[in-house]
Amino acid sequence: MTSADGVHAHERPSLNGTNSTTSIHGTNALDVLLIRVEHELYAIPSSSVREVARYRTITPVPGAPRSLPGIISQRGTILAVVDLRLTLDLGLADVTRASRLVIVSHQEIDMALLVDAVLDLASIPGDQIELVPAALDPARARFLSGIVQIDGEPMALLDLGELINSLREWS
Amino acid sequence: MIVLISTATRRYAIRRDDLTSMQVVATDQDLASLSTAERPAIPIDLGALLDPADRSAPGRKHGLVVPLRRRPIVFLVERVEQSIEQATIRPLPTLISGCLRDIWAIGVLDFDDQLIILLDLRAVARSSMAQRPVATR
Repeated sequence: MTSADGVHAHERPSLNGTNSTTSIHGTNALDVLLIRVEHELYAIPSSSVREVARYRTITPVPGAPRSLPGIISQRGTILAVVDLRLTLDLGLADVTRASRLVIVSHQEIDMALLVDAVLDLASIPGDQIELVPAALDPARARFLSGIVQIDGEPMALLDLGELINSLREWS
Repeated sequence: MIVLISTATRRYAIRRDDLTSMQVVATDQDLASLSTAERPAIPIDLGALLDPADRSAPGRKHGLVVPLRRRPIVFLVERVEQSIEQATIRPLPTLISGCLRDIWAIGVLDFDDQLIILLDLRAVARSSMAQRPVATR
């Protein structure tokens, strides 16, 4: 995975460049990219992340839903941009210097996720992934596959498959 | 042939074959010249139709005339930029093409390091006509 200049993400010593590692406890671990959307923290499986790019102008497509603000060209490939703020119903906001486009590939679909910031990489022991709380708003919970605690902060694991399914429901 | 056009804030590509003519529309007489007694032309600000924030100021425009069976539609744009004889049009990502409210965007052109959306202007014209009150069609 490459990252944009100035991104403060860095690999932790426990990461060895593979998609999945084994923790000292012997359980399978999940490598993730940590992002911020609004004031909430989310984790994306690193196995799906191709690249992190600085924000740049997005070309709008007439008639597309608000959660798909347009397209970009990334190394010659045209990608749909998914605004995670709007998808997660967190409201519209201006992009900032910290805004990033996280290029992901899942189920043979490539797309760019617009996020407010990319924070770090982390490795999560499999036995530390908790279920999504039942009390969470179902509209939000459908996009999550679990909750993890990293440095005392709760983070939600994004379910990219469900994200793609929700976008396909428009058609 | 592909024609590049600009609205107040955007650039789009269209197919020349979708039009009967392109001409300057600076006065009401220019617009009237595109009409007949039985089939008065309907002027539409193309930029504002595609994005309400893309609204141009009054003044001299270029008119793109799309013939419909009932009446001609005249899409008003800031200017016609250039024609491209051989253009490579790429499909939109399926994630976005499957979500479009109307199938107005049918491809994308990578030109001058900029992505430009290719419009099906006949489809835009048909939708615009269908959305008008019956008495004004």
